[in-house]
Amino acid sequence: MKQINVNGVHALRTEGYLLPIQAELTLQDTERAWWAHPAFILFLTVALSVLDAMVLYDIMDSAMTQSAWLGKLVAFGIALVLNVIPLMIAKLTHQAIYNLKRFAGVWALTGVLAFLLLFTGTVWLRFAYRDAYEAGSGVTQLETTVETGAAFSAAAEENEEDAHAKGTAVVVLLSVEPLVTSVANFLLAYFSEDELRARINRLRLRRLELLEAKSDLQAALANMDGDRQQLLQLDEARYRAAREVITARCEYLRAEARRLLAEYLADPAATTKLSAEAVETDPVSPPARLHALSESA
Amino acid sequence: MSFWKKKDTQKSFGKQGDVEETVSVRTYAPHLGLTPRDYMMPQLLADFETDFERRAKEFLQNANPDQYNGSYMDGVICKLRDEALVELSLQRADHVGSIADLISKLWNGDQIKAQAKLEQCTAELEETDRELAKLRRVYHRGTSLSDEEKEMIGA
Repeated sequence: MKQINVNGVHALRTEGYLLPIQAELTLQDTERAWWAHPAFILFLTVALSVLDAMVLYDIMDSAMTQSAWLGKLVAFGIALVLNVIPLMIAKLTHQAIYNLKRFAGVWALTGVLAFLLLFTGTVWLRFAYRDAYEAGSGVTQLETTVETGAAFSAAAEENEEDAHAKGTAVVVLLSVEPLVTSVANFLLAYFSEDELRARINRLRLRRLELLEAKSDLQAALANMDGDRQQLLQLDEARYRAAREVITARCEYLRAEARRLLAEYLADPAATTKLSAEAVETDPVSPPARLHALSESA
Repeated sequence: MSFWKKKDTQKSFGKQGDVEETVSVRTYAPHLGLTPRDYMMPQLLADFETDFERRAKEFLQNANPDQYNGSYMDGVICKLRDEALVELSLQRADHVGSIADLISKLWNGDQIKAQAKLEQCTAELEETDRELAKLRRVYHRGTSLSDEEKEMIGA
């Protein structure tokens, strides 16, 4: 048998359009902005954690007497926790809003409290070491001990206040920086990771898969219906054809036997008689009996 | 797909000399391609046919017949044909048996399996539709799952 239409007729071949599941996937991709991809959020979390860790390490270095590596490790750990907690809070917030999980609100609140506790600790530490950010404070102290004039004393006091204000500004800025990065992380996670939306998208895909499976099963069932009868009919037709082939071959052998006899006798009269016999059908000859046999079968 | 193993010496009817090529045809059901093997030419008749000329000539040499002995081989041919037809009837019985029993059982099994899967699929589809509608309401109306479930119980 030659295979001519490998994939069916031309009109039934796959066209250039997307199949429903592929189309649904591309549609769902449009909902997600480039900054909302999990890989980007992971990268951002690590990057912001490193930034926060550097800011924190500055104060950790002054505050702790342990080795530098331990200070770096603690700073990075705190920064990582400050950036990861908002991601969890964002997910729990969604779950609490839609009431998807029990006690999600309580867990979200616990997360907020943990975050605030840790964040307050870093702010407090920074304020405690505020002197380190007051520019030129050491020089002013030295000058005030050497000089004794009243006018100079007033100027020194003014300088000290100015340095104090600048130091406070730096402390506030460095304290707020981890908070801002954490809020940014929270917002990104909140807008990109909507569990309900994800469930809806998954169900939409599942629905298409089920529709496809259903149509396949219906097609299979339709193919199976009536196939047995068809096979029996086909087999019967082949059986009848096989019987006819046997009959025809036996007829040929009868004729061949007469031809060989005529050839053996080499007599024109005998040849004529035998040739006529080869084509005639005797009522009691094998073909007639064969027909009777076929009918009985 | 052939159902029985074929002996090398046997030949099927009407296929002699044809070049056969096995082609895989995709079907929706797993055993749709099953079909009994072709009917085989009975071996005795085939052997007789091959050796016929030698036998006939030998007979002619030994029996010294005349023009009235045209039916000298008819008896043998008739008996062989009867035997070949009986053998064909046996093949037919095997075919009908295999269709009615083996193939049919396979198809029935497939049908039951497909039917069960279809029912399961339909039930899951209905459940998915309901769940999807509920989640869409929660998402677009800003309600919560518990609100929707209360509403459904109320309805």
